[in-house]
Amino acid sequence: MLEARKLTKRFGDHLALDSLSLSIPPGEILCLLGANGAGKTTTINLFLGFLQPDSGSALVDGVDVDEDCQAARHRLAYIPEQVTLYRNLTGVENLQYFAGLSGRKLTRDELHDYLNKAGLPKTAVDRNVGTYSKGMRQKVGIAIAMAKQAKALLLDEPTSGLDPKASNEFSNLIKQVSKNGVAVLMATHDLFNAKELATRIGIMKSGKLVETLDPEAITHRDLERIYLQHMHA
Amino acid sequence: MIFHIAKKEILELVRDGRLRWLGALMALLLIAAFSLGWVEQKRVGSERAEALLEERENWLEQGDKNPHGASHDGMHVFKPLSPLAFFDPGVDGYLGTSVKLESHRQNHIEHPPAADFGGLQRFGAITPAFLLQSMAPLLLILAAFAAFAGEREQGTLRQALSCGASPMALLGGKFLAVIAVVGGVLVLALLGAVALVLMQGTSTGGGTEVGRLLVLALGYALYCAGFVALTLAVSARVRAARSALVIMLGFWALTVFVAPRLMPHVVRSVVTLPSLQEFDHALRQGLSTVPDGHNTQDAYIQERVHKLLIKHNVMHPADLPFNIHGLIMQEGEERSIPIIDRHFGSLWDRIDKQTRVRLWFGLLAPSLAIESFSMSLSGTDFAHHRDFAKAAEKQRRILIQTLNDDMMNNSKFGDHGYVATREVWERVPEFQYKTPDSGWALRQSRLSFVLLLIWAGATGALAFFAVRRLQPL
Repeated sequence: MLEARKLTKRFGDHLALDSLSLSIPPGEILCLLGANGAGKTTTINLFLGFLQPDSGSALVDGVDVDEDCQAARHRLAYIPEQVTLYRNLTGVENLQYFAGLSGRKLTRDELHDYLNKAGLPKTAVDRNVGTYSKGMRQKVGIAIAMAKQAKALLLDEPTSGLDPKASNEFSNLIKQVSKNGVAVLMATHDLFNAKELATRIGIMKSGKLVETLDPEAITHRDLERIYLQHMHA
Repeated sequence: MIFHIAKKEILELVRDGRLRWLGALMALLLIAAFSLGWVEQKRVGSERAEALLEERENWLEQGDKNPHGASHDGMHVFKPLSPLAFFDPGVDGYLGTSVKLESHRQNHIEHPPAADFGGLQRFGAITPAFLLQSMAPLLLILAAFAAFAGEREQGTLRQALSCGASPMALLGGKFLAVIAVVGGVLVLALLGAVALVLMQGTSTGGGTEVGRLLVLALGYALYCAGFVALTLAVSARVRAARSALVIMLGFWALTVFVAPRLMPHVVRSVVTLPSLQEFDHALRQGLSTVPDGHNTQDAYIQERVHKLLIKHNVMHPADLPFNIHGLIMQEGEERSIPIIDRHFGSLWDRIDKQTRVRLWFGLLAPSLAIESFSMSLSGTDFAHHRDFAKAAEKQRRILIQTLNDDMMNNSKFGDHGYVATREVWERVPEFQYKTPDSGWALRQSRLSFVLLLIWAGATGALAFFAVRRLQPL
């Protein structure tokens, strides 16, 4: 569903992504781990078409992002580290707007249903999002992603700054989404969360995917050791 | 998709307290400007109508007197106020309002209302046109400057694009929303103007004025659309909303306040005008080359008399079947017409040229284009003033010919005691000037309309190219 073919991106002299190749089939969750500047966010931005690759290609459901960015984006949902919403609109209005941009016209009941599934308290849905906590905004972000019914989900450090309970709720929701056949690519620093959530873990360093691990086959301690080995190498 | 985006944008704009206050302030200012304009329109309109009636009465009641003496006493005619002067007084306040019609010369139109202005009024009055030309763009800029740059800073642009919104749909939606919200204020202005025009009744040509107002609304729509498009283009290209605001406020100040005040100096250096004294001196010199009929010893008149005597086969002017003095006077008038037309035509052509030079700068400062377009459609520009001056001169010629004809046909040669009566004064038709129709005004203002089209088209293209490769990073 998501495929990177020798994806390369430079920012001036800095090689941000060095011939990255990866593939994420439907229903799989690939968590990318790596230090700041390893190329995780650059990979996501290339899949979103927010950056143009210097060489190689990013494909979403077979669509080359660089060739038809709009078509690729229609197949994607995206949740950034900070879900940004329109402060003067309510949770429902935000969801209605973003779902509409994806071409989905939802009834009021459907909108409430998505927000409910995402775990947003009923008392909050008709309040301006300017009053929301970060966790509540992330939940609206999940509702937007679910409402879009996308084939692939890109997550850029989505649990950063969330309390453990909210982080756990978020992970459970992502698992549910994945079970519906959605391919998930998540960039994170949270090793514990990655181990719990991912069906595959990739470790990135200097724009390269240096290790791929099966989370079922390793312990938390192994993951931490391997990760630190790569970071200090 | 565009309407979906526009709907959300409208919701946000309406919920933005700052814009609500600004919109309300603008609406209040418009209501105040319309009210003040209306009161002034009624006062000046009735003053001029009364003056015209009184002048007619004085003409008819001047008593029995020699017709040529009456032609020297002359009469005054007054420029009626354009029915849309309350919307845009244009340059009316600085041009004359009345002219004396008398024999042998075309007078300047005198008594500009600006001569009666108090000191403070010289800083400019608040009129609906001023508000729409200067304040409406400010409101549009404030509503649109953060459209892309602000969303980029907040991160919502990233979210919107990732959802599949095309940059062009975002542009269309944001454009529509700003136009719809601020357009509400403009529609209020238009409805106010239509109501006031209709209240003036049909005697001032209400139907024509409504047509002019609709064309005016189109011009203002192009002007405002250009500001929205340019603000969106800038907002799409700069990183920070604050930068977009600073750039657009700078452009606004330049086009709305600096350019109009700079232009008179530029225009004067490109097209010079003679001073009033120089013009009058040149006209007097030109007229001195043709006899006005007063000096019977003039060689030309002597020869003309001689030819008439031969033609009618008589020995003495007294034997002619008409009073030769009346004929000579009329011929003198007719010989002066080309000279008057040439001098005034040349002066007016130069003023027109100045207007055109100023207008071409509308390519850089759209306020100059809308200012000219607005004045023209409101009937308060120089072209309308020139049209009135031509109508007044036509009336002068009818007046003088009527009096000369009477002298020629009803008095005897050498009968210096001849006097005409009210019956002759009544033969001079009442002066009734009607403002030209909207088609004429539109033809006069086609250059400014084209410039407004170019402004809207160019800024639209700029917005298109700025947004085409819109990136949220």
